[in-house]
Amino acid sequence: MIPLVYVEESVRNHPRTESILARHPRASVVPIERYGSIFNHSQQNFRLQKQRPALILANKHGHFVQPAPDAYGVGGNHNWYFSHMLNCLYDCRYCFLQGMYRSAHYLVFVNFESFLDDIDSKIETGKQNWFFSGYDADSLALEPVTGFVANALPFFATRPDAWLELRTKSTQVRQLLEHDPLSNVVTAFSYTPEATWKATEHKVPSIEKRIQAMKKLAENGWIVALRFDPLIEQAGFNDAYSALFEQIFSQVPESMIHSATIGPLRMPKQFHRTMENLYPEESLFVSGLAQTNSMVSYPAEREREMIEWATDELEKHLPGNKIFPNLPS
Amino acid sequence: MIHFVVAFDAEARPLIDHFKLKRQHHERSFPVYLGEQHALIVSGAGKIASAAATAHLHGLTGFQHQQVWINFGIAGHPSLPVGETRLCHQVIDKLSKQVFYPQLVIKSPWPSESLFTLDEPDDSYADDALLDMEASSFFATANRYATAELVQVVKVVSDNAEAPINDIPTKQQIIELLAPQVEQLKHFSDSLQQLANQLQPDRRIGEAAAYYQQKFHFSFSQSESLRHLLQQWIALDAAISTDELCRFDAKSSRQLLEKLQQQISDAGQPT
Ligand code: SF4
Repeated sequence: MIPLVYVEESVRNHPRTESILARHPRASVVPIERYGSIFNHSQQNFRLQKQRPALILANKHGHFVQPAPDAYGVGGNHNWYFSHMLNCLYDCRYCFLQGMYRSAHYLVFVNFESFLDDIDSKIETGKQNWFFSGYDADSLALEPVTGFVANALPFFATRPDAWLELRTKSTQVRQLLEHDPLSNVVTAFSYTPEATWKATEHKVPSIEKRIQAMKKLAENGWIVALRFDPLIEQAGFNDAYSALFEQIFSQVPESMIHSATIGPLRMPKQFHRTMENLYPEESLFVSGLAQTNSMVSYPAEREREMIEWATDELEKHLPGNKIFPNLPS
Repeated sequence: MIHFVVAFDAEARPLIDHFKLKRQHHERSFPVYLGEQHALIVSGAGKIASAAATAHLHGLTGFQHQQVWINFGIAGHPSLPVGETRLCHQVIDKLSKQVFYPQLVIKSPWPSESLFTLDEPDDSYADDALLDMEASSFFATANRYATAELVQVVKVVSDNAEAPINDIPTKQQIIELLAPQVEQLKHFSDSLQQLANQLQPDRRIGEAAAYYQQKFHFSFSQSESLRHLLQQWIALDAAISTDELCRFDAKSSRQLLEKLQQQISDAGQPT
């Protein structure tokens, strides 16, 4: 339950604000001028807030759609990302959001139309234009609160050159299942092996539940995808990932899988330091990591070994042209 | 340590009785009361007094960071009945227009409400919010010492448009208003203390660092590295004892840090 909703005065009468508030009748509503006065305040603690986050409803001004980082590409011509929401229902200990933001509150920009207008302006006809959501949040976990996907599907239904990636660790696929499948909307599920899920992906549904959600989407004609990004080091790394791949591919038909990406655990030094300060007892931030220049990651040789091994292993289940390893140069 | 900042003696009394706090007679700037886990200061009325008292108490309890701070007392409200208690989710300084946001991350026994801090008493009750004369400066000051989740403002309504401020409550009336809330305030502040505990460094780091600092000279940045490496070692071996952390021998602080670094690299490899 969300106990408190901060609402920017400029969106207080926005219909989306009204409907979100109507769904949280017991929450205290606090009017605010600008979300930054809460979200960016320096004297607050992400770890403590994560235990009971509030919701912030705000208006985003500009910079709706941005060029996506290189690592995001899955074979399209143009790659963009957008963040109608910041922060996440889940609490993965390796999540870079906890290093990036001072606040753990869920920040939702209610002017979805501005995002969709900007997406519209970026589409190059005849090309594959990808729009990645889920860079600063899980794309589906808070769908019951935001209703973003329900809003976006009719938009993408009429723009075949615009491809939407919803990246998630959730099982919130109801909105999609209630809609006819769209060939340009891909729901990408992120996984780590069982032991890592248990140790680090707090509140994330079990691997099996996520596979079931994925399977249901595929059975209903929706394209799905796999994201093994980041790969997390662990004892018995190869066996753990082999078992995970087996568990997924034995249940989800390869023909419905658009792509699989594989990426390393990497974070700017400053993010790593912030995360380590928040959770000093967490071995993940120490175990096997090394610092090179301004980044913290597994040592380059080990990183390459992990990614190459995972790529080879995935090729047992997926054609090579569907696999996108992200090997940092 | 849980710190209470109150404006008046009468607001302090129920807390002093409940937590069995002892008056610190040598303290002349403000009345101060201490217990094992609690500290209380009586600031007097107004923003300057409250900021000064908050800062004074911070010093008195050892300049510790990430401790619990609570401003407890009476407040006006246009419509809430006298005796109602509210936790404040927004504190607005009426004069400067500065707005502060105590972060509410634990379940509270009371609903939450906005509060205006005024410079002068006001019986017009024009704003639909709690009214007091201290909370904004209390929060601004305490939030320098503790994260916004640990700094809270709890107010009990003492006057409203129907029973306005000019019928100033007597000392006894204030005590009777606040005393029924103290039990819940105790549970609330204990929960805050549990949050604060999550932010305290592991005791073993301080113990082992003190041991090594007796043996070697460390520069400031070396001391920081020492503590950081000890913390990393504990992260990799949660059950490690202080004795084990102190097991390294070295010729210098530099060599010790290298040994610790090596130990962590070895321990951090997956097995
Ligand atoms: S699901 Fe993704 S966005 Fe959410 S906490 Fe985990 S890594 Fe972060």
